[in-house]
Amino acid sequence: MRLRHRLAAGLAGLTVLLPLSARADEPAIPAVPPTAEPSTPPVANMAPSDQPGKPLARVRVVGPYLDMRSGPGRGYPIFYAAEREEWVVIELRHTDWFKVRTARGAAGWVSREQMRQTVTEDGVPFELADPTLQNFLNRRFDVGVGYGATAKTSFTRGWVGWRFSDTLSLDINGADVQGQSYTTTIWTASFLTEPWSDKRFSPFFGVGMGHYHYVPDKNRINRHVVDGNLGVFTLGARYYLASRVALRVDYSRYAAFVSDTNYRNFQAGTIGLSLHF
Amino acid sequence: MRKSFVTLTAALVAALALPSLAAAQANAESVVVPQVDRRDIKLPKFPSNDFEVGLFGGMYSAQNFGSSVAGGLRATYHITEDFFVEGSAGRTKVSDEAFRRILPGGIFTDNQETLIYSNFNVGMNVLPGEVFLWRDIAMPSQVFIVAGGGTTRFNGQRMKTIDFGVGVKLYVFDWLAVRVDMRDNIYTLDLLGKRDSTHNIELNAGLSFLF
Repeated sequence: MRLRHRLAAGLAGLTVLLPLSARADEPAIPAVPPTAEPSTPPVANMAPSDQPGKPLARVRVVGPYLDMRSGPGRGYPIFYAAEREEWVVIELRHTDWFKVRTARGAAGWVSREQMRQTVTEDGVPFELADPTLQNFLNRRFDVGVGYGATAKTSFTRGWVGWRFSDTLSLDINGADVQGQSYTTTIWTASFLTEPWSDKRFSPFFGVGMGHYHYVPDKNRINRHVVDGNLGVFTLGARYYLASRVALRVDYSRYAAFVSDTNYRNFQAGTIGLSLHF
Repeated sequence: MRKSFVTLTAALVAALALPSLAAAQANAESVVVPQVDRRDIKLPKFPSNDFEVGLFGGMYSAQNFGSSVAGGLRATYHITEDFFVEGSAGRTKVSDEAFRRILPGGIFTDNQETLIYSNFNVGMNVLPGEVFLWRDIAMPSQVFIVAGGGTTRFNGQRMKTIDFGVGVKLYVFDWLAVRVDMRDNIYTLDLLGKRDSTHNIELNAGLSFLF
């Protein structure tokens, strides 16, 4: 609902894009340098204007100062520094950057490292439990894409995984093999077991079944489309990289059932990235 | 003998009973039980906008077949301030009109063929900056490069595609960005009698919604 409102507002706002810029309604940087303030913030002035009624996520600066930048990155310029004992409201997070607003209305982006020099209203140091290694270890779902190769050709592959216990997960895969004169789509469902799922580097092993759909190109003389089932076993590993992202490398061996009495083997390696939730 | 045995037993029982007696005495002394109220610590809650979805529209120039209008969808996840991953899918109509002027049959079965492309890219933010409009308006901007691969469906074939490009993004609001992208989609095509690697330049503009 909220997203729909935002989409509608965004489209409507296109016609008046420039005059309604985000920075336009933000107060300019105070011309007068900030003076010593009492540690109790003027709450009424600190509520984000677009979120009335929501509890404020306030922190107090306990370090010497808090550098505020114009954008969420170290390359953006510092335009303001909140001083010790000043309260700021956290409005938004983007990767490792936090948009904060001071009591005087100056809004800017602060790095996670600097946010560690603040304390919450309860007096505890600010620490964010957000996408970290622990989230990877406790993941329930993952979705990813990768690039693979067989002995003769290469393919693109996507997957969705559901981890329903600590060491077992269901893995749904779709691969698109683009040969020189044909295309084959492969769908498989496998059960994976991960004995070391509590580690950053987590090897896995899986077995599964699937279906393939072979379509020759239009310019082939024999344009016979082939459908069939296949079996697969997979050996691979995940390695947690950062935020919600992990690297996945695996080797799969397929047995494609081409008739009631015959099958063909082929093998493939894949490397890709997955997001976990 | 009997008396000394009784005395020894009594002493042993007393020695064994001493620790429990001491414990009982300690329990009797701890009459003040500290009543500590458990303090609920509330961690601050706030939204994040690491995800981005968007629409784009522009021109797709298919090598040997001219340019045509293209449009599509895009989804992005920002991993760090420097890196992001992005999937996109687009669609355009490619015409063989130029060939039909000299070859009555043309190249395609129909006058136009639909071209659908999808790819997955890894991107890197390289030039953060600000765009100033008038006196009091400044918007953060970001120049980025991307590279990746995917699939192009065209004339009944699916071709492996490698793509790379550059783009610029302007954050109008925290939740809305305007972006312009340029990509080179490289794939092999054998429609004109020879298997050739083709460069297909795409230029588009779009809106992205962050959430």
